[in-house]
Amino acid sequence: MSRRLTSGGRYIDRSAPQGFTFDGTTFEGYAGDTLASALLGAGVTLVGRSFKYHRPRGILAAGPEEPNALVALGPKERTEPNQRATTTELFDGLTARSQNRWPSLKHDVGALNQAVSKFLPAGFYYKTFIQPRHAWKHLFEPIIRRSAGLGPAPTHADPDEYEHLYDTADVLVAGGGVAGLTAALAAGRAGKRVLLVEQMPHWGGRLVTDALPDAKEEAGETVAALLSALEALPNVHLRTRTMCAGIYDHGYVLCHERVSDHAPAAGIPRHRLWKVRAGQIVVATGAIERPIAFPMNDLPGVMLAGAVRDYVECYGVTPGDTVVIVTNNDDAYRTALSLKAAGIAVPAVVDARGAADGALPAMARAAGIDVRTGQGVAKVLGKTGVEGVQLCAQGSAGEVTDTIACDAVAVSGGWSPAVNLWSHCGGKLRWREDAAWFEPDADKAPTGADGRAFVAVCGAANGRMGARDAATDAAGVGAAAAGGEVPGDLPGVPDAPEEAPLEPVWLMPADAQIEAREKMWLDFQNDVKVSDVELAAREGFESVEHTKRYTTLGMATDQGKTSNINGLAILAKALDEGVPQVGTTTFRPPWTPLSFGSIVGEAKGSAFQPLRRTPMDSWHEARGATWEPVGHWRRPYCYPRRAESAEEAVEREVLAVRNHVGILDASTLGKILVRGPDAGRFVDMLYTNMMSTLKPGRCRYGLMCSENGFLMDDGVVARIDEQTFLCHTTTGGADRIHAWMEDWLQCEWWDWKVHTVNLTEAWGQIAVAGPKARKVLESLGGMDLSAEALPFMGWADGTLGGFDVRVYRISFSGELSFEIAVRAGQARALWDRLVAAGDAHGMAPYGTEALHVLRAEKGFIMIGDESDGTVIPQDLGLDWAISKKKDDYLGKRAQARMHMTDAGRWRLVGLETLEGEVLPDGAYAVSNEKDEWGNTRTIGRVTSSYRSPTLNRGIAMALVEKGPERMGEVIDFPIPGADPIAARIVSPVFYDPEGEKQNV
Amino acid sequence: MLKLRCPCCGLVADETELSPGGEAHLVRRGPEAEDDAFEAYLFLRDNPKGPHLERWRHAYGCGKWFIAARDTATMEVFGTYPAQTKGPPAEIVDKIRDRVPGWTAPGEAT
Amino acid sequence: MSDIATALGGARYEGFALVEEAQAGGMIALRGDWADLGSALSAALPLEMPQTRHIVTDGERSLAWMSPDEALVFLPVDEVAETVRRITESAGDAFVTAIDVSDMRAVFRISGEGTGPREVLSKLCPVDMRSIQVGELRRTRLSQVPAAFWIGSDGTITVICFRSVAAYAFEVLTRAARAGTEVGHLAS
Repeated sequence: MSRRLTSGGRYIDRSAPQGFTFDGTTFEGYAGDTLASALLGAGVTLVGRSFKYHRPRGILAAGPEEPNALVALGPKERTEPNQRATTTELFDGLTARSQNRWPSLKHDVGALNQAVSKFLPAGFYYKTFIQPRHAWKHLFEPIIRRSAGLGPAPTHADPDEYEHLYDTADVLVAGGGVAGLTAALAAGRAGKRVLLVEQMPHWGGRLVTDALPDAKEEAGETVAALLSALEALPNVHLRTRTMCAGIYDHGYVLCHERVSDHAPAAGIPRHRLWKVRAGQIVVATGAIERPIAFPMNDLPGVMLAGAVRDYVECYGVTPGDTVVIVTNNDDAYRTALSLKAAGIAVPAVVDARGAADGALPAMARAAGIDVRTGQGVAKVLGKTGVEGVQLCAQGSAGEVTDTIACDAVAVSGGWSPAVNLWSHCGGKLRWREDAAWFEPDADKAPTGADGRAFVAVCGAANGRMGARDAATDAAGVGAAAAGGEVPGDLPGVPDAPEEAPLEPVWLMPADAQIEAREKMWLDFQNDVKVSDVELAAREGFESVEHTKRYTTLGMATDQGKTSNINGLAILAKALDEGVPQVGTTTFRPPWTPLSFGSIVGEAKGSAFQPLRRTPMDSWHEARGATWEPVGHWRRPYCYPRRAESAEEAVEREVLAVRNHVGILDASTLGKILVRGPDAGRFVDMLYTNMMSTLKPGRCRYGLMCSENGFLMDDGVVARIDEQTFLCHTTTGGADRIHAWMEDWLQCEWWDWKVHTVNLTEAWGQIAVAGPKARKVLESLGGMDLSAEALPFMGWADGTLGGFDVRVYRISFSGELSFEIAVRAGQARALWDRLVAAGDAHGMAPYGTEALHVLRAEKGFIMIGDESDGTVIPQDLGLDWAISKKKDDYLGKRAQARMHMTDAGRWRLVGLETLEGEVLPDGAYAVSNEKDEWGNTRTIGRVTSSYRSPTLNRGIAMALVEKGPERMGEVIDFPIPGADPIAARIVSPVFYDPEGEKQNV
Repeated sequence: MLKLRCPCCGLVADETELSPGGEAHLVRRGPEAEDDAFEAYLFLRDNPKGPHLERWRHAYGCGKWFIAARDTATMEVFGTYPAQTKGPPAEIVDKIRDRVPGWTAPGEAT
Repeated sequence: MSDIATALGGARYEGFALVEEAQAGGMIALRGDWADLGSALSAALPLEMPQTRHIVTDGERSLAWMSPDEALVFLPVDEVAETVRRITESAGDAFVTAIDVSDMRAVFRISGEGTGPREVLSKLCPVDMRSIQVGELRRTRLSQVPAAFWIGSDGTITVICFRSVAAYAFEVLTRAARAGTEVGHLAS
């Protein structure tokens, strides 16, 4: 049955019908509808099931505070769960599904939980599932996980686009109601750059809806005048569908713009995350209406009174044909008048107050509405929707005095300022006893970098509920935020009648018995009832923070927007304290949930992380390389030929280097120039060995340690001239080591004359290694590469095949090897020339895995394999690279600490498995002796392990307790699910221990 | 999310353009240091709720290290100054003392 | 000797702004006290020293402030070696380092109508793009990589970043420049 009114609804366009589906059924709404208003218009009142008891739930609100109407949007492959129907704009083709029900919304098996609700009180997880222990993991948790939870997570990668946007504003105004518009105009007139954001698609907030019938036109003109004045200001930027999600330190604000949710289109981002730096922030976020706790207040058809008139006036729909109003304040009478004007029956306004003599009740009475003061709701009748209400005296225990048939209940327990944004960055609240709400304490504002307040609140969010009062407040706050004067020509705001004070009603009826309190919902989404909060208080959860976690009050996706104050008041009552003494929970960002996609922004897919490519990258790709990520670089792991496995390719590449020649892209190695009169002194501090004695034209391997003494990087240093060293770092280490050098030069030895320049990307670097390496290079023609002209560990500048190059005679493979540096813009061309020249010599490109095998055969360590941040060079048998003569180097003092000199440290050895098998990387060795507790003792760990094609057997390097003292000993490596592998401790240098092959 | 003025280039930089470096004005202890002094240099750090002198590098900008005097609770920034100094400048100390009377920089004699 | 290849071979994308990879040209990194750099450069390059966080341009040559003790010279690639030699020579005893870094970076130009080019960067850099003046050089973060940019007198923005991340930088720049994603916020 349609609940669409025949007229009215200023947001909708009745000439533009929009088709949508809900749970597979097709419905029709209008352009301008929200999904909630369209569902109501189509007569759909049951929209979901609650979290714990699977109770039927309808739409409670008309905005972001909605706790019930959560749906999954989109087709299955791009589903987005837990979206509020009240903030989802309708478009033609929208698909939505209800959540947390099985097999269907109407017939939900989980609703059986209601029958056993007595056994599911607050904290039931903690109480019920303690014993037996193992049952938690295998029985209870899987069942709870399946039955709890809201919408299902999407199963496919998000296909949509998102983006970030950085912006600045002198004044950011959050909220586009009359207060926000006025504040923005006041700030804009002062000449400051203003950014005004509104989460909904419309400006003006509640101004027109809440105006009395004879003032609506004037209210509409006010909004239009404010908007046109703002649009005329070039220094003001207006943005709808943009939610101020959070306020952070130093004026940082996140705003979430829903760019195309309402009109999906390819190539347009779905959401845009604004990262704004604001000088001042004006919070004009209005207020949120509170429900009242009365029995069965969660039935579909019970709706907030303000939301009811939103639906009637903005969307031309009504939640029911006969609506009873339940209130403790005058504001709800506006709803009675709205409904009456729309031709909806309003049999009664049930007012809990002893008297209702204000102007608004008087107008309701004049309209012929029955006002029943001192009354409350004893119970809402109905199963999956409202069928009537039983009334009682508010001061009673709930003895029924009357029953009224109706199909909807509009409830108002008063309004609470929406103070969330104020609280995000530390703003404090104060309790207003007369109004029964928390409002911002302007004396305790969030403070910024200069120690001064940077957030101000105005309008309803500041406790100024009347529109005219709110606008006056906003004009002052907006002008102050911009350091200007209140403009004299602000559009007038229509007057509204004075409202009588509300009477706080936390429980209806006041003396409700426990059976009734067990049916009074506080948190609709998480199924927290009055009785749950009382139970928490009885069980000693006196702090609101504890009660919240124990009962889950306010912890659902709505973060308690409609339940926090009511819950707090119930707790205060149970503890016999005042509300402010019980305190309030701290509101944290975001105001309403924002999409993960918007947080990720452009950082997805191929732009997830920067991928660093060498100048030869496209050659590797064309050659079918498999990749190994190293830092942000990608390096070829190996180059499999057709039908060749990766293992086979690595073996072939290793043997090519050992027997013929191989070519490696070494461009990723860090290259840092260290230059100056104090450069020698500086490298002596950086490296453990004596670098300053290195002669120009020569290279030396060096180790760098942290001040903890731990090995952090290694590489070859080339001395270029008297004042200049070129320090090579590991692939992942260049930026880190360059920053490390600058740290010491800037912050410790700032009087040393040393310059560093990170030249890593200026040069491509190509290693040509193997017995025929010299032949390949010489075939290009150019510089003299003979052992005499360029001996091992020397370098020289020259030309090769017409390219200007610098050639280093260094070897990480143990073979005759040249590393050729060439300007990056020519590296690919030189690479191509070398590859062509190598053909005649059986040259193969080799990747990082062959590189690793080659170096392991030679017993060379690899940073990150043999070192892990707890290893000192002494552990690795690198004492030869640690100067005994130097007074100091970074890490020297730490290496003298007791634990570092302990004779029992794990030290580097080689391992030969007895059967030639390959040890698993990372395998642990155990001792046959037990420790003092009778446990097996771990005495070592494999750091590198490979099948050596050269030796045709498994080889490994390991750190073993007192390893070098145990040469020849056989130790066991237990393998899960298999027999232990026995390995003999040997020297880590498996191949050419004399180093004859590299020095030819 | 902090904003700090880099005193080396004058730019007010976003926190994401900076990299943090922990407590400032540590005095390096070398090979001759006793165990206690070395341990203190290497491991012991103040963790005040209140004014803190801390190292930052303008990593995505001019690349220079500087020192920020910041209240760790209120995020008030009393000032920033270049790293080539052994202690905070007097005007920053004065500003901190306006907020926290009697405050002394770590290591400073009281 | 071969030609010098750019990282992306002159990639180009046209959205609401035009993003093009440019020929890098020659670049010289300089380090030294600012005064020493000034005197060393005065004899080697016909350009004034830039103010802090600025770049000065004259024809094919530019001189950029990079840090209080670091400058970057842009010039035709065939002038690099000779200019390095002249700078080193004129520095004399002053402690100045000059080194050819021509191939180290990728260069992009972003051009287009109105605030378009600025808007592209406002999606990627934590920078107030309204406040950037012509001739100002801003080193910052371009999404996840370091970059620097400046705006020429014709409104064209030049972005430089390291060569290895050229493809990444081009990708995020083109995503930010897609037609239909204009925000228009910089016009206010």
